[in-house]
Amino acid sequence: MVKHLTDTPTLDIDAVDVTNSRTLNARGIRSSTPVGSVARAFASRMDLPGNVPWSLRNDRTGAILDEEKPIGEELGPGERVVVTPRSHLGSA
Amino acid sequence: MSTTATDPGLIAPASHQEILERFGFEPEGAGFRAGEVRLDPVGAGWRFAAPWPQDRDPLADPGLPGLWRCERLHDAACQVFALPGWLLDGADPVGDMPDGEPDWQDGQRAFAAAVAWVVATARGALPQGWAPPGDPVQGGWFPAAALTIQQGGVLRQVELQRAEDRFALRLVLAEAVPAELPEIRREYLRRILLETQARWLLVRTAIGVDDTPTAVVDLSGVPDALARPLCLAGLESLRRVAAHLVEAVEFLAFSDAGNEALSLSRQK
Repeated sequence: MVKHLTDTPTLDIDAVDVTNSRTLNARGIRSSTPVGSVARAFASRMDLPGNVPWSLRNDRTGAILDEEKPIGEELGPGERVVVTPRSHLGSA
Repeated sequence: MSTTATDPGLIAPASHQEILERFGFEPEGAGFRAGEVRLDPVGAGWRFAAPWPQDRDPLADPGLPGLWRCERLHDAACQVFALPGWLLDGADPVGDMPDGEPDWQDGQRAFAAAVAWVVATARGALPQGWAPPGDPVQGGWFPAAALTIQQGGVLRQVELQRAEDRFALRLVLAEAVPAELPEIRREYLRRILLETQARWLLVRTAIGVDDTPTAVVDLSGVPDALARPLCLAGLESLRRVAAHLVEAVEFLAFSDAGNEALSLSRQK
């Protein structure tokens, strides 16, 4: 008999754009999903321009989430993100 | 009524017939049979089929490891295990065969291993001594990023399931379907899931006991020689299923729009 394995942990994420005019309530995001993929999907869902690279910023701490890491490692339950254009300001 | 059986040698090379006979298959019509399991060549591949248990939901877990899924054949629900022809032609020549087996050519070894897989899983068991392959990502079969599906607003993560009795790729299509979902929407949702698993030979769709629609490529019991090509093909199948299905599933399960259109469509 085939065992039923436990599902991968998931996150429910609330997101806004930088103008606070577009919001998104995403449910059941797999914790292992890379941040970069989440950012692109959120931008698409919000009808944000597709020719702009997008990042996610933790609305509480202001930190930009590492796009290579799993979203579950970068974000805790109940935290909100801001979908923000990625800007590379160069190193000092 | 007398019938003239087609010479199985015209369908299967003599070496394949020898392999099948060792597993208890006997020629029947254009194909072969062993008990309830019938084998037919389909295109360049092979299809094993047995009756689907009566009263079992075609979208329920068949309770069998491996690639078994529900498909309608000749207007009857069947549990079907399909093996594409390219798999058995191009399998890794380093296969796993029990000691004392004849020195068959690579394709024959792959075919024999595949038949052993089917025969064992048809009984709900795994081939004797089977262990899951190593982690495909660590083994370089594909990068970890390949498990992420992001196409526009569609975002899904394929789960890689490895345990001593399991090796599978699982894709959750949507969250649990609301219990109050109108019947017309639930009917269309079921219909597109059934059509999907009829179209994609490696994919089994289901609505689980928690009402979560999923698509699974179950490779539990897969022979070593077939694991990598089937894993790659299965992952690509799930990526395409996601591209075609996720938005439709979300619309049917979670949108309030379109009930009238769906009702009109059903009346045609």
